[in-house]
Amino acid sequence: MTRRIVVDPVTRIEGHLRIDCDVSNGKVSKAWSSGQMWRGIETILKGRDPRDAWVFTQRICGVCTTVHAIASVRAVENALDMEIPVNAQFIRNMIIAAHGIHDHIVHFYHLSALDWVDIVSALSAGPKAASKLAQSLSDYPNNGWQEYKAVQDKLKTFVGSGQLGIFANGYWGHPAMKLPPEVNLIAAAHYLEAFEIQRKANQITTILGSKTPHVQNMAVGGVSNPINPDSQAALNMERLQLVKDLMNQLQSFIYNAYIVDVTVVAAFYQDWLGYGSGVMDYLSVPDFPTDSKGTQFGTSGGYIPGGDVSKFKPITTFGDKYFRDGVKESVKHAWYKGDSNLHPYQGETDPNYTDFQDDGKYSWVKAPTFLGRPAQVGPLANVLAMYAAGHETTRKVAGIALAKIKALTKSDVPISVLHSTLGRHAARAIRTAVLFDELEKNYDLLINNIASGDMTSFNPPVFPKGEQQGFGFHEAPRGTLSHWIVIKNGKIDNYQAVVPSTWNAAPRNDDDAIGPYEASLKGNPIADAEQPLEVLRTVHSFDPCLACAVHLHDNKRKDISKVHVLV
Amino acid sequence: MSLSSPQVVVLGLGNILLEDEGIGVHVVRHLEQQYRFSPEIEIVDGGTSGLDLLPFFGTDKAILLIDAVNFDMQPGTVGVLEDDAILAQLDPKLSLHHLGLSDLISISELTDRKPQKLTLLGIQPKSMENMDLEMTETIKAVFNKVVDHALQILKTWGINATRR
Repeated sequence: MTRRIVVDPVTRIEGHLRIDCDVSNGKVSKAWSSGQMWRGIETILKGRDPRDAWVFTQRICGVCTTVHAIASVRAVENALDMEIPVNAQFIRNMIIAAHGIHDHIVHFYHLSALDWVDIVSALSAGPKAASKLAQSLSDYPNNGWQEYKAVQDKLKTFVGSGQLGIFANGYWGHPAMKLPPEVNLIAAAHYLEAFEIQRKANQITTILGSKTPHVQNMAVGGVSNPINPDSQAALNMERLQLVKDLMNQLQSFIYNAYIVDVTVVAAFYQDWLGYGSGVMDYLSVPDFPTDSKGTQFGTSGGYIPGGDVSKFKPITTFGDKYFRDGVKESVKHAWYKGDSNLHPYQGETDPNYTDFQDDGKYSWVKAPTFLGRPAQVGPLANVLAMYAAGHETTRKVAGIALAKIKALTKSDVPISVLHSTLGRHAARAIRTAVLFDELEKNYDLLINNIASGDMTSFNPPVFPKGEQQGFGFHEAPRGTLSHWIVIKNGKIDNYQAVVPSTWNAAPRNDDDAIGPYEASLKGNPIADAEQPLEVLRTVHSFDPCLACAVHLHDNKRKDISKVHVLV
Repeated sequence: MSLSSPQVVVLGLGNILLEDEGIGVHVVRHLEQQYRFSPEIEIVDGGTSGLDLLPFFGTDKAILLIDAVNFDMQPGTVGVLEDDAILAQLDPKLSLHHLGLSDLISISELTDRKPQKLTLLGIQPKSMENMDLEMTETIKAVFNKVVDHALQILKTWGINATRR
């Protein structure tokens, strides 16, 4: 018997996502991913000044706000064949790193952990046993039993008052929850601590970007931060010292809490290192440019077909032709006019809503392809690319994470376990350590460059008559983001944003091939069709962010996710 | 109210693009433009932010939240909830930014940032279905009443307001 499960909307994500699954014999046999809101930013941008585009595109979303500013200025700079001062690269890079660290930590602890961690179970843990276990896993300073006791007391008071608040709508006591009470308590403690840590990372973005959400310091040609070590009104030594102090408070949590917690979850849910692989053609782009032109990068990116890292093909510069010519977007199954499959420079955004058709149009998300095939993007794609490229920190931290899982499970754990639902979480934790590295590195680069006397942070752009095309890419927290612009006589003629969740939440494409979410759900077990926790686990592992994946949104607010079970 | 002189924060929440949804933000903007406060207070346009508002919470704070709230009553009804009653009654149907607001309050408690005093001034909206920067006539008609309520609450907290 096949039953249809509809989860609408999927909660603890940004935006409105609907997932439909056909379930037979306790497993998902077919899935549909449907973006439930329309984004009209591309339409708003036509006819505007390209120098202003980043301010608008940034408003696509209130979560990963910096990313659309970065990709947008890079697109215009590429169209004008500009170089930008290295100080501007370093400042942008630090914002990218700090924002990414904040975003990954929030995603794991506040948006996903409750799929795996049972908060109610943490109430029955022994604080001393939890402390002993935690000390055996890491030398994190907050591992004392008194700390765990304090967290547990706080949770008891909170839950006892009948106000579940953030913990309402959790799948407490679900048969698929498997962590022992002590592990649940350790995770709950870090869940609370993560609120403070993510804020510190975010403060770095605020200091450099003037405001968050939505930084104010971008400019086509660099950044608008004046650099003057002695001025009160500029980026000065005092500000930079504040950034340094905040940076120093992040490392221990990343290595001793985040990475360790992910490996412990993986060890107790080994099954989930086997489910959820889906599309194994991976796409990522290099980032953290350290030269003015964008040919030297701190992190690598490229294409890995079929999950085979030996077939890795790197993407090497801003303006890389292999990337530029490889991307297309199909609207055959999306709520846009016609069934075109176009390169983003030619991309169209003409809505045509038809209702949900299983074999026809069923989403506001277009279906992008790389070299004609769907591609999975995100931290996993990026970590695999860096691994393939021999990126040092990636290899080191991946080694630490896999060794921990191995020690906990006493079984062999090859790198291939990363092609899975929990693999995506592990990759995100590994990437957080890489981002921290880049934050420190770019801080030093900036300080040294200022010390050498270079205070430039902006090159003014010049817009020639006629037409220019350009694209900018950025390895954002959710994966490869690219903005594509056509400029005519100094005004925007066309603009398309191909965003990470478009790649991952894509519906069927021009060849009717299924997208990454859809593919990853196939074969997932479903213990209880009324409580499809397993669907959420796999979908959440991609860190969906639909606000930006779709091209006005549905005003109807539905605060609790409704699960319709249709027999 | 016996408080060890907390910092007073007035936090307006809402989406000004969706008619009455933006009432909280409209009220704080009006307070900021039209009044001087003594002692000084912090006025925050919280927009639709959620977790980003956590830094405004703290044990040394008294916070007045202004927001569109679904009380299931006549549009334009103004209601006040205080302290623990807010979270207890903030079921998914109550606040229109349930996800942001109730999460924020829970997290402030769990991260030792529970304010000394927390008051929610809620307004039952008439419509938030359409994209419009203007509020509906029904809500505009009670706007001054909402402002007066806010000023009265601040007065009981020892804050005097004078018109600019």
